[in-house]
Amino acid sequence: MNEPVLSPNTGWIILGAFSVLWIFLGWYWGRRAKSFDDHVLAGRNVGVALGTATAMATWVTSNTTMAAPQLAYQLGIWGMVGYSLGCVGLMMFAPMAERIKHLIPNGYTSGDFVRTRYGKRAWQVFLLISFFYGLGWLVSMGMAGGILLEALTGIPYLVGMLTITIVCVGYTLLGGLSAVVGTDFIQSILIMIGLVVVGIATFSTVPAAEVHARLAEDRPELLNLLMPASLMFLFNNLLFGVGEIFHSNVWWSRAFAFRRGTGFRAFFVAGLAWLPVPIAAGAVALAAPVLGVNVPALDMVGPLVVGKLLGTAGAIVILIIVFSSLASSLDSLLAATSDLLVEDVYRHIFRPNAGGRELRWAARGIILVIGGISIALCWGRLTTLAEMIQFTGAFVSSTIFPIATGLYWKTTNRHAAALGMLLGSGAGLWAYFEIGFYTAALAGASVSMICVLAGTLLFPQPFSWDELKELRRPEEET
Amino acid sequence: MPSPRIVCPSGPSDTGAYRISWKGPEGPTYVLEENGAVLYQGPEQASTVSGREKGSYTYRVGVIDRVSGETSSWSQTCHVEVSPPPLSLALGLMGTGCMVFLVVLLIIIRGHKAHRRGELE
Repeated sequence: MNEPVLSPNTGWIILGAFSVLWIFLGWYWGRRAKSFDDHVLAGRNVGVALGTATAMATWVTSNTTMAAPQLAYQLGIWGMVGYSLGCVGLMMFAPMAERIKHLIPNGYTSGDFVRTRYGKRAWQVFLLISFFYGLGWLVSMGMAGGILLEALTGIPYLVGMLTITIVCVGYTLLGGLSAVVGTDFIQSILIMIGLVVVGIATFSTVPAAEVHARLAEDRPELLNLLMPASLMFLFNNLLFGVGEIFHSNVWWSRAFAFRRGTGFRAFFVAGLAWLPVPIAAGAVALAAPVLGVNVPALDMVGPLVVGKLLGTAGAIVILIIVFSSLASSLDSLLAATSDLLVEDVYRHIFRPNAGGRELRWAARGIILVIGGISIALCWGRLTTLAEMIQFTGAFVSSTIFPIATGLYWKTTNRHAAALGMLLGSGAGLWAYFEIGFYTAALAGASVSMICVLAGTLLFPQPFSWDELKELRRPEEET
Repeated sequence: MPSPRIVCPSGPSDTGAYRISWKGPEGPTYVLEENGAVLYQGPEQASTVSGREKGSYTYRVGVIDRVSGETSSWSQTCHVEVSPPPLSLALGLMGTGCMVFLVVLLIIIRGHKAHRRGELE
């Protein structure tokens, strides 16, 4: 087995220093939150710089830093490029963020939109998809943190997973979205600097021509631009990313939280800034054959190559990058899932008259519960759960057309939207099992598109945008 | 020294990337061979191969004797068939994905222009 490059003591020093920093900043930024809006939407006043950084850092997850090298090693050039097409989702969401802010100035969640726009049936399907996706993402990140800490430092999996999850729950609890956005800003800078260092170090040590020659000799399919699996993966991954962003409350809560006029620029620039991240992370993996690195597990190829190239310094850089990317996504997901549960379940189903103060406490309680559930699911280190995120492509891609047409078309058919999500999810699952993981999102989006477009063209249902504008904040209702 | 037990993927590989693992005592140096050529030599008990073209690949693992340096105790061989999906299917699905993407893009661009012109009020 691989010996950890760092000692547990070094791991604890890095983990401890960053944990203290995040929790202090969470407490510091959280002091200013006086209302429910302040806590869950950072006072709806986030500017372009912070907005860009939070969108970019949240989209750089452990999946990006660990799976991009894996996909380059597995699917070659197109695997790496295909992963980078995840930026398209962020850029396409830019105009939608502007529209969302305009249409629903007092909204809180993506569920608010779906419930008002399409009615209860579509809303229930949508909530199920959102929770399933959110939980899958949360668990895959908690597990990735534990696995990475154990591999790099020898800190036992359970201790590492618990520490990372508890730290993120702690500062999200203290500071709400203000803390999430603020820490995301610092984390995005750390991620960018770290990746630049790793990229330069790799290709100054191993020339690109040498990497190419070795791949052409030993692993020719990685350079084959007509490799069938990677061709299918290309647009599948693009649609997966679009589905993830269009439906998830992680992005909707940011659209609500950004100051009017900043959403478009923030999401567009974040997409551009994110584009080179998977390329930089993925290219590192292609150097593995030249360096003679044995890869016992696909998802460890990135850390192994960097560890071989840069030794202790490389392992420290990787630890900081992955800890930052994990934290920036875990906190966002905790906050956004808690908002969705508070607004769409607690307030709309159980406590319609709840005021801002009560909702703020409910949001905190729910963050604790979600954190607890995540820890419980990560406890057994069920590797199949990490693979669950691949499943979710079938579900989230089926929401693309209901969301996009719902925002821009007045006549989108409500039943077709609900049916599109159901049939699209079914088709995506079928493709996942019958063809391969690289087709699930593609099948889900295609079937959902046919449902929504055909249903709307044949049976248009008029909708008044004013219904969305009439959504009110809880304080005003109490 | 007992022979290591080699484990290959149970079905054919459609990506040409897969994991070969083996079980044996900790400590000795193992040799993994692919179609008779050395692929890996070291103490670990797994290796991931990738970038394999369509075809059949045979693997076996041996243990290097510390004293003589000879490789002995070879495992049984196992075979992996690399069988990518047809290129026509891949291009067809890629085209479908491209079309779906362009339709979403069109909806958003047209919608955004109409929104900016105030036509969606």
